[in-house]
Amino acid sequence: MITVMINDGALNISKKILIVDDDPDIVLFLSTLLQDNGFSTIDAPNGQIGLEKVKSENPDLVLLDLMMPQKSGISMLEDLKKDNNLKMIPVIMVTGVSAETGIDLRSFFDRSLNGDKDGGLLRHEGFLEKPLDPQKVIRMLKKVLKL
Amino acid sequence: MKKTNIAIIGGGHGCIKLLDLLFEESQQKHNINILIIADINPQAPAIERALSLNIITTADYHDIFSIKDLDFLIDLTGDPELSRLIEREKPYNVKFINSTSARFFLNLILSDKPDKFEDTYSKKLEKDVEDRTKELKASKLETERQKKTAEGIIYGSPAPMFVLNKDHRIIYWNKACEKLTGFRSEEMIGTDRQWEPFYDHRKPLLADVIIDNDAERMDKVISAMNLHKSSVVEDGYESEFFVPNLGEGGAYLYINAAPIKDEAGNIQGAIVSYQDFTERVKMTQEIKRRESFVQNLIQNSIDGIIATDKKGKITVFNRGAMEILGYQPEEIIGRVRYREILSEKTAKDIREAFYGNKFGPEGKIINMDADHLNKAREIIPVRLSGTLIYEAGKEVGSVVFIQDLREIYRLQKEKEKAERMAAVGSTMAGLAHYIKNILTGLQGGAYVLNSAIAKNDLELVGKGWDMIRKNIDQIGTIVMDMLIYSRERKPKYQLVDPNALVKELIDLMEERAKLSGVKIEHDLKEGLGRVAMDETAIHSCLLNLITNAIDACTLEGIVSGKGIVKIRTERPEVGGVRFIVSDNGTGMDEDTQKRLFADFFTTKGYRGTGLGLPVTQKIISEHGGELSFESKPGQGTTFSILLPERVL
Repeated sequence: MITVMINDGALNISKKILIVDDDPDIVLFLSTLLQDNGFSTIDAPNGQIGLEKVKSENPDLVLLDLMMPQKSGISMLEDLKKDNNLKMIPVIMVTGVSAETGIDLRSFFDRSLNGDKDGGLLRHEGFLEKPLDPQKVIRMLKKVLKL
Repeated sequence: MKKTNIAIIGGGHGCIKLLDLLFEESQQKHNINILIIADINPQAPAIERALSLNIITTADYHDIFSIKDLDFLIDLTGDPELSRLIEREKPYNVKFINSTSARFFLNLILSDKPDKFEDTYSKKLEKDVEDRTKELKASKLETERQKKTAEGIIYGSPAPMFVLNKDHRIIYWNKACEKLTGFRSEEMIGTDRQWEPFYDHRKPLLADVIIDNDAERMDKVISAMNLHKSSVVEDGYESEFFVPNLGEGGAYLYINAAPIKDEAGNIQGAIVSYQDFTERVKMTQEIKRRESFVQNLIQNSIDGIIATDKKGKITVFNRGAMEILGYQPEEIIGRVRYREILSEKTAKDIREAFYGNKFGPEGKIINMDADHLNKAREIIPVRLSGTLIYEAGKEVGSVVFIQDLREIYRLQKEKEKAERMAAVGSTMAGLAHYIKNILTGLQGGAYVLNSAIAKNDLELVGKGWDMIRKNIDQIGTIVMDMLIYSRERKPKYQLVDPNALVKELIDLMEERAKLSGVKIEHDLKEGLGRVAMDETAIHSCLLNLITNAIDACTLEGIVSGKGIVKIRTERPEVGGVRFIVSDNGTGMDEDTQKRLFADFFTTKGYRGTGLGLPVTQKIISEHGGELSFESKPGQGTTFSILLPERVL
């Protein structure tokens, strides 16, 4: 069941979200969803441009796709967390890779969430799996941004 | 002071003179003790005299050799030939004065008293010698001949032998005994060292016990040495025993010891002969070892081993054969003919294979599939190798080695199943991933559409609807790809102008390429004519390759504007047509190249189904053609489709 969520728009007006994804459909979907919920959005098709936009636009949060050509989400995450000026910006990872492929990304990210040494520079604030449930996306954003 | 002990051989006049000389005064004065006088003639003058002097006499001078503590032996027979014989036989520690020396010294001593002896002695002596020689010649020669024969037998015997006299001293130690023991006769004769070759410390040998003739001790020895009475020699004993001290690693000997008795039945010595059967024992052991090795080999082989005699009767049926065919060896071996555990056809096939060269050379069978019958008369498929066995050129039997094919078949099936399951598994995973991407797009599209309607935003309605339609298209694409890929299909051939096909594709793709900043070039060979192909299928293959080429130029996500895709056609030497699609895009690393034709492998993120190239490859191979590529990371990729000439 898909519901359009337009509520509390006024509360979120000041928050700027960067959506990094190579799939224009996902970008369109996420920006529509976020804007409907009072966020403002900017986007980038890969990690390279994403990193430039973080520096120039100073977003409040980054929604980062894991697998992208050119520069992957993981690589961009590392660069963000290495940079002392940028490492405080919260990042929510988004991925289509899931259990079916045999890669247990969830436990991998859970570990880095818990500050596991192996997680290292992959510290991030949340993890979303495709297909994306609009309510879950908004719930996680609010939680991470403490709204 | 010790007296000198003397023995005299020859009781003639010479001996009388010597006795006169010694007993004229007193024996004491000379400190000489005459222990024995030997003469073959019991009526010899000195023999009678000896009796009166209490000196022992004998008819056989050999008796002298067994006398203990003898110092000198004097030959007074005047017969140099006898002296030579005595010299050889006497105990080596007895000093010997031969007949020539004796006569010389006797003459010398007696010449001091010419009045008494001159005429009488010399003449008499010579006469005596002459007489005695005549008198004794016949009997002596006979004795000598017998003795020599016996000696010859002992010395020349290939069997190791030694003889002890009744004082346990060695009087014979033959060549073979020297060879067996490593002790030479010169050092052994006259001594009682007979134990030395056999033991580390002095210990009586069987021969010593026999000489001592002590019944109680003999019984002990009999049981200790496991002796049994000799079947050939009277009062002799035989046994086999092992002597660790002899040779390398000991020797196995067969001993035969027997007493030597005189006419009165008194034991005068013992004769011992050996038979060294160490070699035979070692050979037997080696044969046994090899036999048991071969037996082990046969028994423990996983292969079934079945051997037959020349009549086809089974003589070997090992554990492997038992496990494959279910028979117990005892119900098979010697009871059943090989062909009784074969079907009639297999028996015939095996016979033909042995005598023909269908499975290896004549007389051999290499890897032939043959059905055997198990105990329950079920057919057991086996792989069989075998050989006929020949002895001196004659066939004496056969041996076959059989492997149970049921197990191999089972493993093969299991492996195929596992492979199939793995393939299904990876197909499902790839498919699920792909469908999830489509689902994400559809859900996103639906959300955007709803949002647009709620906001009355017409532009956004269009975008949302585009998303949904695109994902529906993708479902269509993957379903078509999957159908093509999964189904065996025959190309629907028609004659097509390859260049026209390429031009059509360029028209179709040019707009999209331009949007991506990629230029499409072409170089088409004139006069290719028309080539037989499934136009729709080849169209989709080329479309796939061109799309890939454009993507390779834009995969970085940045429109560089420098991307060029070039399409060429050529006439190969073999006829038909070659399509070449090249780009100057990202190229592929080795890992990507390896996985290129794997199902659902994609580098294109959300857009790739991972089925494009596998489908293309399948279509080309259905055409009997060839799909090949060359690629270098950073420099670009060239794909080439070869379609062979085909007459419709």
